[in-house]
Amino acid sequence: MLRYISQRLIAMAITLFLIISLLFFLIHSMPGSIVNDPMLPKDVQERIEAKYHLDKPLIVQYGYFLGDFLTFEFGDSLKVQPKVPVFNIIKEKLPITIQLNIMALIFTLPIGIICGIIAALKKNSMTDHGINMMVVLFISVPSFVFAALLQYMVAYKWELLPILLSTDQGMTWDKIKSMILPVLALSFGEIAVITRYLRAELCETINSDYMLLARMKGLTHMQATVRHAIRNSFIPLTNILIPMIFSILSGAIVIENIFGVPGLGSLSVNSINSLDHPLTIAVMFFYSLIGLISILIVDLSYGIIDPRIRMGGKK
Amino acid sequence: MKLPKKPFLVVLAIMMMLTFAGCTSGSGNAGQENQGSKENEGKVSSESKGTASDKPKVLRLATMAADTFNQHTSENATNSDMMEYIYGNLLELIYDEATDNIKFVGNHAIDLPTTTDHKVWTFKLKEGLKWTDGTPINAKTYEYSYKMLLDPKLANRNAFVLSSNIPVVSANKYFKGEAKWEDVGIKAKDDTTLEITLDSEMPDIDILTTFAGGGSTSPVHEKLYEGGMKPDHSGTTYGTTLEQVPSSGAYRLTEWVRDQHHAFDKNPESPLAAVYKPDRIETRVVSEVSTRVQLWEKGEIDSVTISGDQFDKYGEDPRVVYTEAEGVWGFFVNSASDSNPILKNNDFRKALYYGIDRDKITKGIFKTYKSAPYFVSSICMVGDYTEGKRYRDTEEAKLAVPPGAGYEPDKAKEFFEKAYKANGNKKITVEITYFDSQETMKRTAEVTQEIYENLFGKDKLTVKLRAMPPMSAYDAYKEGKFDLGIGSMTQNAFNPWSSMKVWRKDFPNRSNRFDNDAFEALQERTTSGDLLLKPEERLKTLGEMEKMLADYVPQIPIFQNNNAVIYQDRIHLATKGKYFPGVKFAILQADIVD
Repeated sequence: MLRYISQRLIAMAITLFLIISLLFFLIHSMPGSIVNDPMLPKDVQERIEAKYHLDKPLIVQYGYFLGDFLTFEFGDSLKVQPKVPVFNIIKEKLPITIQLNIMALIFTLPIGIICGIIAALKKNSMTDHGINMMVVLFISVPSFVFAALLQYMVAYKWELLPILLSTDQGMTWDKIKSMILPVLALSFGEIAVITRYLRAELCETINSDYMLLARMKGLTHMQATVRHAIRNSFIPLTNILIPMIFSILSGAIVIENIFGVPGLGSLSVNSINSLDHPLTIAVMFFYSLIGLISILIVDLSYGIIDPRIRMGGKK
Repeated sequence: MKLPKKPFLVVLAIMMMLTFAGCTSGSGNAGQENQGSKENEGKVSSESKGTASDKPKVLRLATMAADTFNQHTSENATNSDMMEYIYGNLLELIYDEATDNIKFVGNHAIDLPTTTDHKVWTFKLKEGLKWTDGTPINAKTYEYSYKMLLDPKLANRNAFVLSSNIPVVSANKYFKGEAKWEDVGIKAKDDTTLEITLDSEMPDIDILTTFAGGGSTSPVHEKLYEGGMKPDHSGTTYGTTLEQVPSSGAYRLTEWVRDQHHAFDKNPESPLAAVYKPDRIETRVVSEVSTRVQLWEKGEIDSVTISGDQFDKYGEDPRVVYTEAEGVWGFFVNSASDSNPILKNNDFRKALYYGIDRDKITKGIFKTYKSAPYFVSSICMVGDYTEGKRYRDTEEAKLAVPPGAGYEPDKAKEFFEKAYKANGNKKITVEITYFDSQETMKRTAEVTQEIYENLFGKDKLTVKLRAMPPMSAYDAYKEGKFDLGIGSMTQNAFNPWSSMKVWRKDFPNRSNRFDNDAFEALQERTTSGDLLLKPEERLKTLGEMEKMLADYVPQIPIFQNNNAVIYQDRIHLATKGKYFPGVKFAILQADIVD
């Protein structure tokens, strides 16, 4: 197991290096300059570009970049938050993103699982059709549409909740109230995904032989489903649940913009648009790392949840 | 078989821990902000006890996010507005109700600078000036600030102000590392005397505008600036956190959560404390236009820019006021194009100039914009600024371009027929480049295509459209890889002659291909030559230069992007809705009546 994990970690490091290197060449080939004010005198422009080695050939710039990267020195932001170390920017924006996404997850998981179980148990009934319609609606309508609608109806028209996220720094009642709408907007899509996935898995499991055996032993349909079917249905669900838990670290651009959330969401877009290369690379490095770690954990979790998978791996 | 309770409990516990970690850590500034906030609440309430008013006057605005409060590197308009609140300077530009005009007054300086030859300018500073932390501000603070602004290692973006806007002796050489600081024409003669020496004479207005307001020439706090300096002296973290933002102006920054909100409380020690009315300014970062309008309609912010549907709803409201843009938008023409030589034809360019129905675009698409058949924005001032004379109101300006919106279809057809003939009676094709990120730009390009093809005939002219990101589009213009391209160049409202540099051949980021030696000679004479200090001749020359542009048509000017802004009833603008360069609507001088 340890050998397997170390092999995967080495592969992860190589993948990260390749991603970051490709990203470096990709973003540096974008048109424009960090000094994009056409009215700025040429000598000032040249001095600024020289300061950041942007006047050097790309391969030389890559050399500087590698030297910094290998010492985990990602530098300061050039445009989005000038002179602020890039990881400080990420660190500063993470808390609110985590808060919102965890709340969304706490809301999403039980509702998604309950809806999935109900839909599977009441398969082909009116309840199932109702849940399916909800699933189709939540999956097909983008979350920012829900966000705008919720903001307009609930906050603006009915005045039940604030339009924007509260500026309170602690977790006050006002802050919690102001988080309800972004949490709801973030949750709808995820609820639909879990419901759909769990319903499909459960429907298949319910029809298996061991479920018939369980019923014959005298268990009710509900008891057999809760005690036997759900655990087996969770194995494939891990594929989406673990990445979903890790996605609490990433923001949602449009929803954050709509509700005035100072989170991570728009950071990557802003940094790319403003040609803030150090920040772009740092943000992408962060997301790549999260992605790779979540893939590793998903793979390892199979063996924990279903020992048969681990045993198979030992051959 | 049992359900796996333990892993779930562990996941739940981790999630709760993360939530609480998130709740408690907040942003890096949270602690200080709350502290600052409480401190301010106390301050404001104690101040208000002494006044007749019961409640502090709070101005609430929706803005974009400030990215830095370092005036040496800052480059966006939001930063500039906010730095105006917190950074004082030698002078200040304010609205003067008595004359219904703008007025320069001394801020840290006792009065306006003095000069005998328009080359050596002397500022006398007030005594007892202080930062809000009690650190003294004197002439040496200014000298240090300008030394840092021009520092060759720091390579600050705004260093150009002291070499390009006004030619301070050896400033550019020092910036390039080719001169010593002792050679630069900036000297603190004593604690209250600052002397600025220029390479060449400059009119008063250029000196006044350079040293007014909280921009790049406002002083920096030496201790904080040096405290944030990197060991290799290549940058400073000055102005990047709440603790590193000092105040020398009418307000001080007391709350700052990046990308969310800012709060500024009045600095009673400021020499201008009596001029500015709000006790507190609160700005909320709101990037969505529709959200801003909702906040305004709920009374949570005091002003909002309206367009489209909102303008249809509020256009007739007496509270609506209009800004004036510092630039003219239009289609740059690649008049040196070898790939499409018809663009070299002056008749063709004139046909395009007279053939565009500007009102159809401004009233049909943008609603609040102003049709502009001219090259110099209506905000540009000429002559003595105290007279408030606008260039566009002068006879010289009226003679330079056609009257009204400049749409003369018959004249346009006449020019087009000549061009068509010169093209060997072959069908002409041109391509319009527009910015892909804005729906209104796309519609502008589409309407222009329709207008031209309908006017000149689809059998004779085809207009193609090409969408590009703005940055790529300007790169294409610079490289000459375009036919017609949408764009604008910012103009200096107080120095339109200087703004004419964009039409020169040696302008580094040239979007046009205008090539006229006589024009360049006139531009040079008005900005650094014999006409510099002769207002009447200078005005006449500006008219001549604009006429040259109108004759050549290096750009087909279309509109000025003036915006409609609506204020709450509680805001009583001192300017009565008039828009002035520099002070805009003088919102900080508005009465706030609750």
